[in-house]
Amino acid sequence: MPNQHLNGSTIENNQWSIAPEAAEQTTRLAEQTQLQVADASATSTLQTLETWATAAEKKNLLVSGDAEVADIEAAIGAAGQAPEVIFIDFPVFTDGRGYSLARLLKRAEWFNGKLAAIGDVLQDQVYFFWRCGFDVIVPRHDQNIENCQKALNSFSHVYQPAVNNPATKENKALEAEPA
Amino acid sequence: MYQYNQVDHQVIKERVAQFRDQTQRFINGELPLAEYLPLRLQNGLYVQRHAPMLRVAIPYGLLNSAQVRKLAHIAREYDKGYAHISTRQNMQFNWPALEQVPDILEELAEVEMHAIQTSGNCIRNVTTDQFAGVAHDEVTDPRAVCEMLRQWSTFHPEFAFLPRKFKIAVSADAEDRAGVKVHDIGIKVRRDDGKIGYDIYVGGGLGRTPMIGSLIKEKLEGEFLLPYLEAILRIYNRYGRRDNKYKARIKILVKALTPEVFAERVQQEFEIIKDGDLHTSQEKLEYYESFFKLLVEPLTADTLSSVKATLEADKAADPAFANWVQRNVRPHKLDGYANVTLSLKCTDIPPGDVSDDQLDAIADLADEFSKGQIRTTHFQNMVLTDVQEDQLKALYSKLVPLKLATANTGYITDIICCPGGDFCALANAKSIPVAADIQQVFDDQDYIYDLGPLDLNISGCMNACGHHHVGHIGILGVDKKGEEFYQLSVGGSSKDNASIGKILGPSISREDIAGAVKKVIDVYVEQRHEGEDFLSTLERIGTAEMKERVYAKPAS
Repeated sequence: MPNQHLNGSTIENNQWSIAPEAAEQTTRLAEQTQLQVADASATSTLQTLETWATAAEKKNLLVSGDAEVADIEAAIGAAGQAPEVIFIDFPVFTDGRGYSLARLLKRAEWFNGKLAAIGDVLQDQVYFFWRCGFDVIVPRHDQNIENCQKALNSFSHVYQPAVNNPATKENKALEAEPA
Repeated sequence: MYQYNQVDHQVIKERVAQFRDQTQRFINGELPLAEYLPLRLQNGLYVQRHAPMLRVAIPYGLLNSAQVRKLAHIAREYDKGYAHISTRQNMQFNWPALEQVPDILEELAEVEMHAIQTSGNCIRNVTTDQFAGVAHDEVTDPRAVCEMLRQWSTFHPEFAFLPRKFKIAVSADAEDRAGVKVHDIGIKVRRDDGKIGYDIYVGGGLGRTPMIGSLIKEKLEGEFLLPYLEAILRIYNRYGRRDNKYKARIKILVKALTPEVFAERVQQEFEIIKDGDLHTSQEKLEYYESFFKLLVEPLTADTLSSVKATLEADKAADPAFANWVQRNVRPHKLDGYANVTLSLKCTDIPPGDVSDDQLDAIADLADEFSKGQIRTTHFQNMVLTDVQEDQLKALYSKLVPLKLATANTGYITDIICCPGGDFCALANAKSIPVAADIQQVFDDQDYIYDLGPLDLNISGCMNACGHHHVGHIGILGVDKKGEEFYQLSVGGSSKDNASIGKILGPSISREDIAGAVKKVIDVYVEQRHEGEDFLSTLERIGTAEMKERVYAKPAS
């Protein structure tokens, strides 16, 4: 499969490398995704909360789904620089903690960057990611990127407000109300 | 009832297409079993002992006659001619072929039905009192709130991969027929000085670790219901255990944190989101309410007295009919109308099973007698509401040949029973034959009535689908070195006085279990005071004598 991700609804080439420090997570992500550890051809590197303070490049922060928002804020505050993208790690696709973390980060005043989903990221979750505010979706290595792109349009309407429809204009109950 | 608009129709169609694609990818080998599993579960599809089982959603147990005819058609064309009503008011088909499931879903979509979120680790179909909207003892019609929750929870993007399944029940009636204290979230509707408020219970549930829910919020206003529930779910999704599926339900988190601390955390999140997108305007609440109007008009004084006179004359002329009215007919909000339970607990048919022909007939009867609407119940029966009392005799006469007039609603033979080892892959033991044994032991109707209302619940394993913990008498199937044994408990209740039954002693063999139930009942009959019900007697005398009687060594 091509080394690509979704940025919004656009298919783009991956340009990231994984920092070697977080041993277990690093090895797993290298297996699950197309990204490589310390990839010299990459233009940018994912750093963890532990390495953030000392990292030379502070663009991409990788966090676990169970990370506390306060801890992320503290690490970023200490380093004096907020990331452009926070990557939320889904070690297994059934672990849904990252969806809630995404919603909390999206409303955090100190963070205006993008959110990315990475790890055991599957076609059939893409729609949920997108609605919870993930801007970037990095599918697992064996997923078909065009099918992931199509999955953004799984449903034409939604039943509840979420991040990508903050006003309830899309909400059917309002639509269906008598004028 | 709620009517689909164009948007609902579109979404359900898109869901069928999505699931057809997922199933095709699985059949083609493109989607591994482990990844297909949660997708099929969230569409109500289990793999069972003999074939897949498809659980169709019946939102808060409300159906129209067209839907019932469609269910009859599906039972006939895709199954073996019957369906099964679950304790959460849904309908299950035990024999569909996997590759035909998308076709079944497409047929269901034609009548505004689906199988969305009837299984899996997500928010399940919301349940309520089977008499919601027509009950004489309710503070308001809870169905508008149920529909609001249905829409909020359908494909909720944040809560599709919760630590474990999540069940919500709403009750607005005096005795709590929905069992709100044994659900992950229970919503008890109240009215204080004319104002509607919602008491929120959290962390109740059955299964391996039965618990009674804790009250964490009182008198919540309707406009804040969705933000408050979203806050509960967010805390649970973030902090519920994921390392052990047997400790993953919200009840374990609530207990570990204590209900007070859990409530504080929810409150913190609630304060942030309460006035946000989920805040529900009065206008919108009224929009939901607009779908649930009474289907009948108050009768004039003249008509009422003639209706009453007819009913009395019918009862006087036919004692069997009079008895059925006494046992299976419940009062309606409006005088002159009644709500009728169709018992699916006839002795020679598994509890909760209903045939295709019965379903077709029920649909016709609904059109004729109950404004085309039908309910399914937590007790695995069906209900026709809004029947004018002078029509009861005509309805009864048509129910008798259909075997739907067994006059045992609420009595010991009105058994709640899971499909058990005959169908379910999880079960340790069979439950249907045990129900049949017990129904045979208690085959004297007058004796059954003399015992008074009695809940007897049977589960084939500790997942407790048959709600054995909250039966006045509960039976749990266990596996002992490959043999089926049954644990007997007494004193459970799912009603307002909710409690978990106490296990009487060592498990009992299949051939002895019905006899053991009889011994427990014998002790009750001997010890009860005039007019005292089973639970009250038990509370007074304790379990010692029942224990002694059940486990007495036979004289050699």
